Amino acid sequence: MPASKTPITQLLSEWRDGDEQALDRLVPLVYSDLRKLALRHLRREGAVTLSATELVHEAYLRLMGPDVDWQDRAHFFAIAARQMRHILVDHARHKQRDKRGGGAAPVSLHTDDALDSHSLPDMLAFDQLLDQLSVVDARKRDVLELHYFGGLSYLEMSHVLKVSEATVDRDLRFAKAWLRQSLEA
Amino acid sequence: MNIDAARFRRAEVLFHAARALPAERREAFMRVECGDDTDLHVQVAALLAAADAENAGPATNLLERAGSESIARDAEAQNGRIIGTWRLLRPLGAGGMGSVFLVERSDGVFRTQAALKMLNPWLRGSTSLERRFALERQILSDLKHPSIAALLDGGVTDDGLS
Repeated sequence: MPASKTPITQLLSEWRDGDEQALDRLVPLVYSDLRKLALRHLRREGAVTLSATELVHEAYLRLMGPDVDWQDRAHFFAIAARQMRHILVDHARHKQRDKRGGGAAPVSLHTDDALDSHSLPDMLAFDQLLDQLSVVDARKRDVLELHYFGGLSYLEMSHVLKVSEATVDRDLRFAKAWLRQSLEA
Repeated sequence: MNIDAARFRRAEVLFHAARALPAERREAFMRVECGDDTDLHVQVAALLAAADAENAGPATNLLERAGSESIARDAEAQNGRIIGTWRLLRPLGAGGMGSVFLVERSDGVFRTQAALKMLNPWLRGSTSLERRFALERQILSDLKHPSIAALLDGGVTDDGLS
């Protein structure tokens, strides 16, 4: 098992064992790989659709390799989800600046062609709502981030956020309803 | 825009309380709870509608897709776990209701393999679903036919999973 450990896997276990500095070295590695993947994707897709969770999954397979226990995987997804949000928001801001006056270029979180884009948040509005939410309830911001950008499961979120799966479920139900309502308002 | 923290909390409490009620009783409940506060009433009603729309939405969206992948990952994480006299070997399938595992007897009394179906963790506590699951189990145990899987066992785990 140790022979197959990638540098990322190693850093993740060190971080889990309490070495805070491991996280500082880990984040840039994850970020640069995710960003490369995302930009390639955005160019190919003409900056319209992007599957955040699929990219996170792809980065995970590239950086972590197959035999990783699920707790490590959950932590990786959590780190990647937050990076993914930054990458997509940055990209949306650049697009908006390029088009000066031409309105925002929405980068929707799509995974399927058949999707109607009305049900999905515009990236910059979504980003602002997450910031507002974090002021009153940081954990709700976390569940939305982990869910939308990382595709974490209930078990994975409950492990990362250190709450029960039932709490994750309640938080997510309410936060998603709040998000949907705020975007429509 | 800033969110009013106290109103946010209150809306959250009412949202969950109303969702636990049958749809036809929600409106009366909200009238009592919100009283003169029509803003709150309107907001919680909108949140409930948003939650219903979320559930009724197309299964093609990001969340649903992320959901099915993550359900399969959660099922994998259960490998090797022992439930009653059964050891979970590997997931055979996973869906919205529950996951099915290949299991074997773990007590060494005799060797046999079987399939074990488990309700998804976030559905626990939902009385109607648990009742449906129990009913399904009862029907299956009443059926005796060579082409229908025989029911061997059933119950609730220590952490409340059916």
